[in-house]
Amino acid sequence: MSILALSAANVRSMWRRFVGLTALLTVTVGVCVTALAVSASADRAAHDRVQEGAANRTVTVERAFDRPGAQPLTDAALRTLKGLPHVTAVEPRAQVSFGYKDATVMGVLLYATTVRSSVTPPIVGQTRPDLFPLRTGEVVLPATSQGSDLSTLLGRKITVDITRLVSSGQGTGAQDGVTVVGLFDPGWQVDGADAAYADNDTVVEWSAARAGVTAAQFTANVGYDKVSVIVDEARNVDATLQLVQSAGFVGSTLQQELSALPGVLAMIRTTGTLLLAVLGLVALVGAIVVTGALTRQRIREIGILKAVGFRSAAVLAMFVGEMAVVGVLGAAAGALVGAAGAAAAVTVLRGLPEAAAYVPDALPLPDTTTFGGLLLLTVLITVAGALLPALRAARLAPSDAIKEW
Amino acid sequence: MNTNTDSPLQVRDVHKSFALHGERIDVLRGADLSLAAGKVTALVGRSGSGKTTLLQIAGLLAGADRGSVRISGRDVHELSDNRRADLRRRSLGFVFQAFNLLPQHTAAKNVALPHLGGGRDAARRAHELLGRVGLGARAGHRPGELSAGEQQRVAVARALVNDPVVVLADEPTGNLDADSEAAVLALFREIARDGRGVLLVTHSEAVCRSADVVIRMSDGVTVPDVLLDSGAGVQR
Ligand SMILES: Nc1ncnc2c1ncn2[C@@H]1O[C@H](COP(=O)(O)OP(=O)(O)OP(=O)(O)O)[C@@H](O)[C@H]1O
Ligand SMILES: [Mg+2]
Repeated sequence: MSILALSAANVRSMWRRFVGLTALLTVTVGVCVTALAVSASADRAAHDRVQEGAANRTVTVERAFDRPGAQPLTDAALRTLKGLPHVTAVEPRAQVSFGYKDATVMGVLLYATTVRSSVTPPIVGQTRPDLFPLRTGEVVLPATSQGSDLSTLLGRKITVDITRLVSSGQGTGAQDGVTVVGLFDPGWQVDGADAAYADNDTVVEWSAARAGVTAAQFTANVGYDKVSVIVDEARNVDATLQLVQSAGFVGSTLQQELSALPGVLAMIRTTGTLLLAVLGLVALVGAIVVTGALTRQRIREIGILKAVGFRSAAVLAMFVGEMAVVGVLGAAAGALVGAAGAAAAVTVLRGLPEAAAYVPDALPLPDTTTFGGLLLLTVLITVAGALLPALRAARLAPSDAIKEW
Repeated sequence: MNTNTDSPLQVRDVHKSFALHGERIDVLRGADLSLAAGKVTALVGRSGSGKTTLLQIAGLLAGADRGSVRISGRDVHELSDNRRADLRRRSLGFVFQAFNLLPQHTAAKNVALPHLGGGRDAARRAHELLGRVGLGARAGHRPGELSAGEQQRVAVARALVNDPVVVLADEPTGNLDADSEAAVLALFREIARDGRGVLLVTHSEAVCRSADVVIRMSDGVTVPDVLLDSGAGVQR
């Protein structure tokens, strides 16, 4: 205890010699905490969603534009999928853009999205209980979007702008009327930023218009973007996935879909792991260099300590203790920097459509275990780095250490 | 030769040589030293005669090639480095010409240092000793804020903090003016009166005059000094 107090007093009074290493640790731990925090909460967000209700009983089938021979998700395909063993329901999914503008709403561009019964958005306002399934001509909007407050539209019949294809490559504006029956929390971005929810018929109709065909032609020939295939039990999901794939569809489980982090987040996670290794190296080399320099500069001090009765172990403990103090300071300051960094990263990531769904509302701080581990790791490494030079210094014979009496 | 077993520090027939550029220098060739409790002993001799070497061996800061060192009658020959460190802490106090205070710590912390830097008792004792050397009001000052004489008085206080049986000082007044020298010498006399053995390595006339015993280093051996004026003898 008292040796550690001596170390702390040394760090305090000779802070100029330690400030460089402390700053280095602060920055490294800070960046590391930021990266770990963001990727850890993205993982958690993905995991949490998989646990919800039917989500872990779902196989998602995608329309593969780039895969020759892959089947389009037409009515026929839906029937095929519905006929597979263990399948209890198929939910076709499509997204199509529409615009809305009035005296108070400056103009928002949203994506009308079919609702999956297994993954419904959190509702913050509704005109009737049991919103889902939506009836024909009904929409559920985000409470706010693109800076506009849409909550005033609740319960109103509104006219929206859609696109109708008139000839190849040429579209024209068209309008349609829908009723706003609900509002959902805009933090819910599972179906991408700017999603709105509409009933199946409406989404199909608008999609057909955009493709320049009738609704019947659309479902028969063009097909949906995705189909959620709901399986009776979670343990049958993998078997169903195999059947789906051998029937010529591109499928994945929701579990896979959600845990395959978008590129940005995956990069952040890799960076975090890499930085953890870099942190280790930086701290180790820093501690070795700084302790080496300090012990060379303080040889006379070592002699004095030995003359007044410090054992070699006490001298060693003092130098190592100084590095432990620096490690704690660096890790603590790094945690603060990391928290600020995570907050900043969240703001940036919310703006990226592909990552937004994975970014939680609350500030994503690493849990105490991660944090404690990082602190321990930093201290362990600085201590390990200090050990060798400090040992060399502590072994000095007192008469060698004090040349100048 | 004094073979008094009550002596707090006895050095007998110590030899020490150094190899320098392939050449062997025999610095000590059978030096003896015996401090008497309650007395100030001065060790004199020309520069390079081996005074510091003898003091380091006597103070367990260096080993001898041959010969014995006894602290309070106990032979230190077989002791490990750790035991020697413990003995230095418990039984010996050092004062250096260059003061050798740690610049980063306050006077009080420097004095308490032999207590391994901590403890309420250590702090209390440090303040008490600083009061005794006339620096009670300077406890919170760092060495850089003190004069040379004041720094050396802090060093004396540090040498006393563990109530040692022997205090060893290597030219303790070498860097001080006459007034400071007198003040520090008075302190050493007081320390001796507490019943400790005090060894002062010195070139100073004033220090020799204030000593009870004067020993001279010559040709690697110690001889009782009878050549000094004013009747300075082996025992006064
Ligand atoms: N570590 C060492 N290596 C080589 N030679 C040494 C070493 N220490 C001391 N010596 C030599 O031993 C001799 C005695 O040195 P010492 O320091 O004991 O003299 P001293 O009597 O204290 O001199 P001074 O009065 O100048 O302080 C000197 O010639 C010195 O060069
Ligand atoms: Mg000398």
